[in-house]
Amino acid sequence: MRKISNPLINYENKWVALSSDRKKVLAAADSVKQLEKKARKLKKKVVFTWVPPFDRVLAPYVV
Amino acid sequence: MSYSKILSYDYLKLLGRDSQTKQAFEIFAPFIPIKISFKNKSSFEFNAMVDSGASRNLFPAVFGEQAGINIQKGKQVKLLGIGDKEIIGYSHKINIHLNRIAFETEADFSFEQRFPLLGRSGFFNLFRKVIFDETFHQLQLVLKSIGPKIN
Repeated sequence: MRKISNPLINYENKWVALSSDRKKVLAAADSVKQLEKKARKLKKKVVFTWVPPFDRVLAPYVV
Repeated sequence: MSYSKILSYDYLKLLGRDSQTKQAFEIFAPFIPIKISFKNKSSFEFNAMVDSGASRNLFPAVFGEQAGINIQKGKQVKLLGIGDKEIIGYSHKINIHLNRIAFETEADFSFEQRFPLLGRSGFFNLFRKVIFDETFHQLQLVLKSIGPKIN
């Protein structure tokens, strides 16, 4: 059984702040506003990303 | 400043889970890092999905608020997606920043949308070509010969 090494594996249905190369998770939160507070403290360039639930098919208009 | 006429981005690796085996698997998706600005204020950078099925740009309202936009002051639009679900958005003129290049455009913002979407009008039409390379999981944006503003 192949193990997935994807950095998002522990952040299902969370907002995460990724490193600028999008390879590491630097912070995570339940909402963008909570993530903003954490990201400001990092003082690094980050990329916000929502990690969709893994059991849902990616369809853009799902709220 | 000089810049390449093609902007290339690796797809983002998201995750899915098989409903029967519960095994996780990777999904390659054309998300690219952008930020938006309005007047002199910018949002954080965020990953947005390049979506050829979307007519227009649609962003979660919170990213517009980061850029200082009073969301509900925009022109109200009704947006229809999958499953006939309709949501309300508000249109604003903004800049989209890719790397160090700023593009003047327009986007809708909604409090009911979580995925940032880059659509045909307002994003695809800024480029000569938008290439989805599904073999190498890479998105290429071919710039028009008349260059955009560079910060």
